[in-house]
Amino acid sequence: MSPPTSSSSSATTDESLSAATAAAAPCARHALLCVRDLHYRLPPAARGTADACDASGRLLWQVPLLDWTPAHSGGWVHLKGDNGSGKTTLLRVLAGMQSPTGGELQWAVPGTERVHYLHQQPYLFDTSVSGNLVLAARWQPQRRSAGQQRVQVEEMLDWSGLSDKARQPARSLSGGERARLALARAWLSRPPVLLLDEPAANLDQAAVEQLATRLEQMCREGCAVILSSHQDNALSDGCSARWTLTEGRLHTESLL
Amino acid sequence: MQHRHSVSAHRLLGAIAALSLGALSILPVQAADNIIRLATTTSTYNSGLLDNLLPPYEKAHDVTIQVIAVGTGKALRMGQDGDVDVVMTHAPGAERTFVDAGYGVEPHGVMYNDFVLLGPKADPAAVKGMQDVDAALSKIATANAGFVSRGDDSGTHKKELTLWKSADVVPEFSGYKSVGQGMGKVLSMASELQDYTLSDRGTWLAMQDKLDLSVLVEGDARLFNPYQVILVNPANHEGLNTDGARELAEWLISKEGQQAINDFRLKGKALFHASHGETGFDAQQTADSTSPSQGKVEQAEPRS
Amino acid sequence: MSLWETTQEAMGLLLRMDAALWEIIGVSFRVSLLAMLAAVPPALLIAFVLVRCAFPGRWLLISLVNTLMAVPTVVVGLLLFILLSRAGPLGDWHLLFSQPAMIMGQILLALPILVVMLHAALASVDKRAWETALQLGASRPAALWRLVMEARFGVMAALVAAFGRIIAEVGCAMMVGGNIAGFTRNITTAIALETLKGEYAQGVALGMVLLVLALALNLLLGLLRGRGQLAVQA
Repeated sequence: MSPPTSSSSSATTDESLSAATAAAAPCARHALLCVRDLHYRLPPAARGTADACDASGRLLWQVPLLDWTPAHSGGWVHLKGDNGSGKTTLLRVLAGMQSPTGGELQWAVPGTERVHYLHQQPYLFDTSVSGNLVLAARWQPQRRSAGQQRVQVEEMLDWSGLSDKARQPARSLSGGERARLALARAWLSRPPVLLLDEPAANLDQAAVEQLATRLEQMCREGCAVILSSHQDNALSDGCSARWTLTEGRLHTESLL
Repeated sequence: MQHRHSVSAHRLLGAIAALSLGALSILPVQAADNIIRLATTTSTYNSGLLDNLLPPYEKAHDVTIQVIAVGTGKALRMGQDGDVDVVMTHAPGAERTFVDAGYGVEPHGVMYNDFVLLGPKADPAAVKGMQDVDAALSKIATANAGFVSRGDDSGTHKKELTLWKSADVVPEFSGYKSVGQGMGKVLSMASELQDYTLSDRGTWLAMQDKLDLSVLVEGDARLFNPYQVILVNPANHEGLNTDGARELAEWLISKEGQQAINDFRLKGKALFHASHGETGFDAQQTADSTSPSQGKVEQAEPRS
Repeated sequence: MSLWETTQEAMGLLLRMDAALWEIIGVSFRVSLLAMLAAVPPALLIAFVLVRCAFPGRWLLISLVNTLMAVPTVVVGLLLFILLSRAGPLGDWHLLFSQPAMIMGQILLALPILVVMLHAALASVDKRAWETALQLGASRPAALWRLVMEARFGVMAALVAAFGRIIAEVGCAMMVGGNIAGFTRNITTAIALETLKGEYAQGVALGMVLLVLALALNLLLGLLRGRGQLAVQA
């Protein structure tokens, strides 16, 4: 995993002609996210792993230019796109978990670990509910004393509404509870940006609404959220912007 | 599906049972009267003496002799348990106990070879050329030089313990290493560690090219190593081939057998000296067995 | 002597806390535990690299390690003997016939089985576990430790199997240890020796120790696995 700010100089395709000029444009002053000529190509169909990064694969998507400056603190983006349009890959590239095949992206937050990505089905560690939070408290980028960590864990148990299940194995939780625990675990260290991959998938209506309440609260506290889904749902209702991924292009529109 | 499964399981079980029965059916053949099982020491076997002696005998008498080469302790134990028909060993004390306890009958002195005291060429304890092996051992103990002991209850080990005893040394100095391994292994350990050790001459001759050791003390009468052949007492066990074993023992002490032993050469040197009826040898044997309980003590405390 | 009498005598030796017997047991445990301590960290790293990194020749390496697992212990012993012998390249270390030499041999024996079983254990953990740990800010060592915890039953099985192999092996210990009483004589070389001497009771007593050990380790493993879904302190 290389940092997302790494640049690639392969500007040989014709699409990148306009992008080449865009790439030169400086980032907007207060942009939280600044993207220049970012693109991702699938590995060539022939399963040669050696040249996985060869630019001859099919272009999955490209984002020639994007400056995201949330209108208010927080900001809530709905990343919409059909299945297979590359939403997950885009989110993972934005989170720095996967390298793009070219282009630049820059977050105006210190350290890429402050951009938190949550899997479509979040992975819960094979320990108790509170154990999962204890791990997050121990690993968070800011150092906290053991006492402070305990307070954080208690707080997040309360926040997720799982206080009475603190000692249960995390994997015995229901789907909605799992989603809330994963969200609480991510939110414990108060990351400035949270990327959620299809958070509403496999959840019933009540669980989605409980998730929505908490996401709204996070936004009020200044967290920028990008969540993906292939259709509108209860979570996308409160969004301030919609990014649509169609035919390999990202279209942005403000919903305010 | 399940039915087919159980059928194949039955077949498998049947096959396994058939195989085991087949294997078992081979066993009784071993009790046949044309097989003699001889437990003997590694020294006679590894030196090549038996390979030289036995094939002509087997051919002439139409028997197969199965040689099990182990330490004297194990060989006598196998005799006691009736696992073999006859033993040929070289630990007079233990052999006397073996016969006295009724495990063996008809002991005969067959031959002797001798032991040598080996050590590094640097000879830190300065024992080279000494005529008195007891004095040499005391010097080694006083100098606290390294000494590798067989420690495996073998005839050589028993011999070594007897020598320490007659030298009036308790072998517990820190350089003393009891390793519980065969002669060849002990020799290479002594060579690696540049320690002293006691070896039978046969193994030493066979291995000397590969070792960084030399003979320091030899020729002392106390270093003689008498071999006896003893039949396992047929009264204790059924199915022993005692007749075959007796025939073999009698051949070994016959004029012909004794001649064959004397004629055996390893690297051009005579190793074994036929000794049946030799008075000098018998005197030696008696001297070695002055304390009848000696073998028993060693059996009980093999690591001493 | 009947098997029953031998067993009785063996039990007697164990219960009387025969000092020589327990010293032998102590050598076995000291050597094998130290060997495990030395072998586990590198084995874990190799297994982790094999799981995480796709490099050319990776499958060749895995096959190689699988093959090494089948190498007889005496062959490892012979190799080490040649290396450590006075005439060998490492002869100056003067390690032959010492506990460190036995430990080296057992490390070599434990490594392949540890790598293979740890690799299988770590590979069975969901790929998202590693990503999630890093996302939550874990350092790489911390994330690796978490992977080990996620795969703890497989990891335990690997440790038990490796420990079982090295404490029960005789070829290498005999060859490079030399079976020196009070120094390098361990359970297995002592059994080999006692059997050679016809002293079966000692051998059986030591064999029972190994048997009880194997039983205890497997019970422990079963107990842990039974608790598999229960919370374990994070």
